[in-house]
Amino acid sequence: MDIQIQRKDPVRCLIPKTTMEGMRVPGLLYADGKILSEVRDDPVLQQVINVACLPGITGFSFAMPDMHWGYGFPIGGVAAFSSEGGVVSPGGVGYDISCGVRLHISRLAEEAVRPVLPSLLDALFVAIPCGVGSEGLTMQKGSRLDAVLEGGAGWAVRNGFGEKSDLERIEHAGCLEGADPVEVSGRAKERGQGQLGSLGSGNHFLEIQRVEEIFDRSLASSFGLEAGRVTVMIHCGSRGLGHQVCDDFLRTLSRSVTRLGIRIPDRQLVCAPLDSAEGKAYLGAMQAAANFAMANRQAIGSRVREVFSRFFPGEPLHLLYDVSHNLALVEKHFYDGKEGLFCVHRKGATRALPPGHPSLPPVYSKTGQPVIIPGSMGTASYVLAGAAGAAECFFSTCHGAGRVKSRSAALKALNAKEVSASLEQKGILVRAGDLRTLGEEAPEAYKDVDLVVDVVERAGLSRKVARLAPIAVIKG
Amino acid sequence: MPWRKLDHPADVRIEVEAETLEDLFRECADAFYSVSLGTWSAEHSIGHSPGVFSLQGSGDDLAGLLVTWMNELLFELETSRRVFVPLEVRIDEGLNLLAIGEWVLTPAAGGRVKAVTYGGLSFDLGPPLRLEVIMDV
Repeated sequence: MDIQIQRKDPVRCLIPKTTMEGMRVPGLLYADGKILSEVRDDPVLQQVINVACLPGITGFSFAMPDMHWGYGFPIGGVAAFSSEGGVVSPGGVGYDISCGVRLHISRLAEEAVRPVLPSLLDALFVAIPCGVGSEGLTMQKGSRLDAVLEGGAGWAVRNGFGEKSDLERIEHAGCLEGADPVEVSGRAKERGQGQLGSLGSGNHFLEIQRVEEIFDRSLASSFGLEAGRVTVMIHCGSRGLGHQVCDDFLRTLSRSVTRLGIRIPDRQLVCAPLDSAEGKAYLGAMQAAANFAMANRQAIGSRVREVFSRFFPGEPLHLLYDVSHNLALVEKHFYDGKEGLFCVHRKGATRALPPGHPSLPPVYSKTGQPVIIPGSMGTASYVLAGAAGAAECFFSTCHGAGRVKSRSAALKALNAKEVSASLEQKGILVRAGDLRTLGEEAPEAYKDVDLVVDVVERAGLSRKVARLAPIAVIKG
Repeated sequence: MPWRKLDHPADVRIEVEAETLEDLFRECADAFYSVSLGTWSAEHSIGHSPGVFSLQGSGDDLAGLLVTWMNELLFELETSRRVFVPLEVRIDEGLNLLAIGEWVLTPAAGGRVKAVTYGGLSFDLGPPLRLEVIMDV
């Protein structure tokens, strides 16, 4: 199908509702000319159109500038479904439920860390389980695993992982209250029981960074960011447990759509009405998996602090924020002139609340929510802040750089050893749980994160606060 | 051509071809383990035993049954470190599957595939039978 795209302004493009029969809303792409040219022939545009066909979708089927081909929903996709007649779809959350990122901030200057960086990185590599099939820091079975699924990061803190003050710096205070462990299958629990406190593999990582550039001095100061200081970023999710929850409900809901007569253009878009038993069951299981993910990141963050304290006794490693980029949340929004409840699906997209938003934790009520945007391991990551302009997309923004090159193409261009050598030439040390992943995750496989972030700032979705450059990376 | 990788920006997309349905299921298993475990082969096993694998009414159609089959192999690999080598596969009209083969215990704790997905799933009855499927890694 030839997809006609109408440019609305330098960073917004429209896919008209008339593009395909069944579309209920238009598609809205956040993209400048370069980003649009990169995705012009990609299946991601058809996925934006397919999502626009789902019942109850409101406004637009959105795609952030880091968009790329996902399963059913595009990666970088945002879609809000009205609580009246709308649906929830596991494909709109993805397999790695509550995959997300957190940033810890130190007072240490890069110069203080550099001399011990190789041994610090080795110590972290030993302390933090990572790579294919990695087992976690703690085994939790039966009712103890249910307590994790109900308690999220709060469970982690109560069990010795981190500090109570961390919780106010985690989205939803580290726990989604609608979580229902009963809806999480025994198979999902079996996959997750030994994985709590592990990075896993794929694009997950732990990175030591330096604050390279400050864009907004006032916000950076409020966030505790100072040029030259060292930070630690952790990117991971709900491991096998989340994947199994998604797989279980894709199968369950594929029967529901047939029974309920819901027409979907792609079977990965199976869904259920928000007020149906199946829809509520998925939301309960998804929230439980999200709690597992938040507990997972909290446990890893706590272990990172322990390792840092061995090298730099007494130096704190404060948590700036922990935020998910794969979730469906029922939220109150004022949209198109009226207030309502919407199930906002963000798949490879981050919630970004502006200053004064009632859902912000008190510590960020004046600044807006910190948004953590991981880049590729050879380039940079960003700290953004939520901005009022994001109201048009249900307070959402991008989640990372987004891939442009396939894993096999990346491996053809550079093997793991070459990637490692190239990074070390730039002063970036690397350890990897799986060498093959290192080659596949080469910086060249990703979009230009600077461009992605530039687009969301120009669109008014978020504000640039600081740019972070990697100095050491552990790849899962 | 039993199976090959196709282009995909983030994950692993494969195309599998076979003359018979039974061969297609065997090829899917082979593709899954190759992607998941890389250079692993049965020679690296730390134990093996005869085994039977059955799926009762697990798929809405043949493509769904294939995805279910691969996800079941994934589950066993991740939770029990077991590879199932299918020697004979039987599928009846009710989409019930019975596979007879061998369980092989691997030293690897799980593999790199995290899910076999319905995204981009296509199935052509051929001949030859042809499946396209994407694995999340």
